[in-house]
Amino acid sequence: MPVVRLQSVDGEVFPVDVEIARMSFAIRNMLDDLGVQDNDAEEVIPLPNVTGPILRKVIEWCTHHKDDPPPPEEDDTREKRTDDIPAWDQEFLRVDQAVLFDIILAANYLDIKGLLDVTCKTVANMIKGKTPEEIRKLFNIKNDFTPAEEEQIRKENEWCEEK
Amino acid sequence: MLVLKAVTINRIMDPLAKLRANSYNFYRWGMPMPSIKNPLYIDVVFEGVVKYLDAQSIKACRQVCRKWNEVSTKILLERVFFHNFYEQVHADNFESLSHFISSNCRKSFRNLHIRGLSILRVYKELNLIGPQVHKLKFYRTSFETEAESSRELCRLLEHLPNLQCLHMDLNDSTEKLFYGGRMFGVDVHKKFSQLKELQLRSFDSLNKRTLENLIKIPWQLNTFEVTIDNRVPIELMRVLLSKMNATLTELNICFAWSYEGYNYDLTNPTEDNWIIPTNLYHLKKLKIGADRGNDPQILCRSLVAALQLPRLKTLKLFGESIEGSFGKMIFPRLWDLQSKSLTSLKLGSNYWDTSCFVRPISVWPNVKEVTLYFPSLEIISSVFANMENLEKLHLELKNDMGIQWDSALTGIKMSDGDANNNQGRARPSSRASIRFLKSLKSLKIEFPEYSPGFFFTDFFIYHGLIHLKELQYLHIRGEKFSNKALQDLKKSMRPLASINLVNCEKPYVPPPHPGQIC
Repeated sequence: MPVVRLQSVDGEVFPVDVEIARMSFAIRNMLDDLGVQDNDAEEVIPLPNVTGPILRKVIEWCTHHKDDPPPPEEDDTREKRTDDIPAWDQEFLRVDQAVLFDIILAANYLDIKGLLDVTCKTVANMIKGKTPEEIRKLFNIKNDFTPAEEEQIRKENEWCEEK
Repeated sequence: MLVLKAVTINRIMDPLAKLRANSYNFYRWGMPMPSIKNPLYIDVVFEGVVKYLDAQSIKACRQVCRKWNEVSTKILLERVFFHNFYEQVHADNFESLSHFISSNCRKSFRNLHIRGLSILRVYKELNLIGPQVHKLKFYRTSFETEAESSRELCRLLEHLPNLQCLHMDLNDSTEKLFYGGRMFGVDVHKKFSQLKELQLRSFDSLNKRTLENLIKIPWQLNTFEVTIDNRVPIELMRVLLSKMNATLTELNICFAWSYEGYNYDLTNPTEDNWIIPTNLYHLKKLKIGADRGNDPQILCRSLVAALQLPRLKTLKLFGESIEGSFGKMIFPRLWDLQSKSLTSLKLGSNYWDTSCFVRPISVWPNVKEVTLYFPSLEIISSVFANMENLEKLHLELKNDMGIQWDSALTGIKMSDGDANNNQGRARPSSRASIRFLKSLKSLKIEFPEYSPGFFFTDFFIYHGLIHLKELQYLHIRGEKFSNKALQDLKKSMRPLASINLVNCEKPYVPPPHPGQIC
């Protein structure tokens, strides 16, 4: 199995099977665009936005999920279920919020759909059932509305009813 | 989708984009990125989160900050209707609202819910948003005459070229829509043949003539909902349904409260006497609503036929008050008809006959999801005892002061000391317990809004919930739980499982897990 070498921002180098690295659409596009051949294995691909510990986590996730079927394309606007996170992923994501956020950033940067999905589900579960104030506190978000804007949104929310 | 992602990466992660565009050499030096600490400020990421939320949570997200409001509003508008246009949104509001919609969410706004027609005189605005509307809910108010209502409906249909779903009342005037091909210059039959979803609330208007006209339309419906009352000729309804067989996947039949099944020949046991035709090969979801005074035999007939449909996955059976005789007649037959395809079962009634549930439910081996509205204890016990593969359980309980739910659902008797010492030793009991549901992933227990005597204590956690090792989602009334019991529960549940406590002054926030990297 051909190997590519991924380098984190702090200089750590991870040799990874090409097939696993290609689960990242960003890396896949890069390899395709550059026409990287098997014998270029000594080339190092720097990932300037991912730290070593996070990259290790991402590679661990990709390795475990390398045989997953590609996720189906969906055009359904209805609420999707969040209670179907596989046990392995739950254990894998048993990390504090800062690390979870770094994994999300890495998944988005590297464009790994499956990892992004499962982390988004995790965040959705954290949001469900909370008030706006609780959500702001949980994620350390500043309220940047004027009182008039807040009132307007409250009114609009009342106009809406669920399907 | 892919294009969107690529754009986002270009914007946020510049070097990678430059790498693609320019040379490898430029890239190999790497380049520090502007650091975004909170990924929930990235549109595409936050969108990914919001699509997993219910409408209520999305509304909360709109109120968090401007950035979130922008993203979640678009997704909310895909899912909701505007409520009571006539009463709450006046013509001025409608104008500004349509401008808001057409400039902010041209792509995502799809549903229009209209009660009353006066608003529709603002046709200029309707032109702005009309082509976007895929779904129309249209109900008349008492202010308009019936003649007005069908004319306005025709004009409205003309302004909605991409309409796929229509929910409407059928009255003496609107039923004429189906008579001729054209009405007020609109080809009504063609319009209706484009629909994917139709809901007709009939109120004594779905008569023979209307049905004969409905049968002529080349339907392509996926979802059909209809109310059946005494004037509906069942044999024609059956023909109409069987005409829809190529596309129909979801059917909701509601028997009006007065329905007694005249002209329904109960002595005829042949297939052509069943309400639901057996050629609905693609039907996946069936909902039957019954009401006081319905003849149980008719419901029985419709169900028996339906359970033989090869792809039926979800069965919902609702009744205001289906008395004991119904249960006795119908359920022995239901259990005899094995349905391997069924995965989801929802039963609701005030007065189910309970004896039928004592028989094993295992003839439906693939049922993973059960919802019970106002079930008796016997029904709950029967589900605990027989459906060990169950993954999702939703109970809506009656406000019954006489039942100690802690002990009822765990199957364990509480002694006097237990109220204070909830970790007390369990007493062996032969009664079925929620602990039998080894595969349960999601549990939701609800109760009437005003029910002061109804609560769960730590006893339920220690003798019930804590044993459900697969549980990922829990929704329960929580004001009597202690923090310690909740923490013990959280430890026993899968990591990142979600607990939603209602009726608590301060929602429980679990302590963060320690970082576990490498």
